[in-house]
Amino acid sequence: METQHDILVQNKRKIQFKFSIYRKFTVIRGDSATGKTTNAKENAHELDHNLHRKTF
Amino acid sequence: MVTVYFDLPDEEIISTSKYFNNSYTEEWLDDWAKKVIRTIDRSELISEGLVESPVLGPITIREISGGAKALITMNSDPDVISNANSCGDNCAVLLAELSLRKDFRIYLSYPMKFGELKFDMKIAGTEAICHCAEEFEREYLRWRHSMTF
Repeated sequence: METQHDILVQNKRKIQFKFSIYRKFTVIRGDSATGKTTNAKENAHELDHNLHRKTF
Repeated sequence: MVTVYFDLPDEEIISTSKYFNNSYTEEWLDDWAKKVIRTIDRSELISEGLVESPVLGPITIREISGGAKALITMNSDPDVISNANSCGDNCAVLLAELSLRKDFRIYLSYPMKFGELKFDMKIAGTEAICHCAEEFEREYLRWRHSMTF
């Protein structure tokens, strides 16, 4: 069973997030202002975009 | 002096970001706020509500980091128990500095790394006083060991 997925999210400003998710839950933690929330928002936006692209 | 709550009832735990976004006023965006935004976010508070980030470009004050929002709330709103779980270890320097000149309360349930910093801290419940990382960590471990699952 594949348990690791490597994710790369990048926007037009060339802000890039690379991370890996393992199994069901992955905890993102670290210093303040290192992009955790921005990353989550980018991912949510990307998932939403892909969902719409597949639906319509 | 900062009063630290290791544990709080759910209804008293605030969302740092939502609370800040709905509560901040012009008075909150003072020299301390500028220092926090410069130190933690490596950004500049240009005017009320506008921040220049080297990574994101111009952003609103609502888009600064959770740690920065928490530190600004600690300084500006004495009525609330700020949620320091939004703060990473890189906020410890400013948290310690603020504790030496202001009375405020925080909810902190993880062992923040204070390193060699000196601070004025009281642990809610036990009323223990801590001035260094070793004393804080001892109190934190005492609380963790007392937890029942």
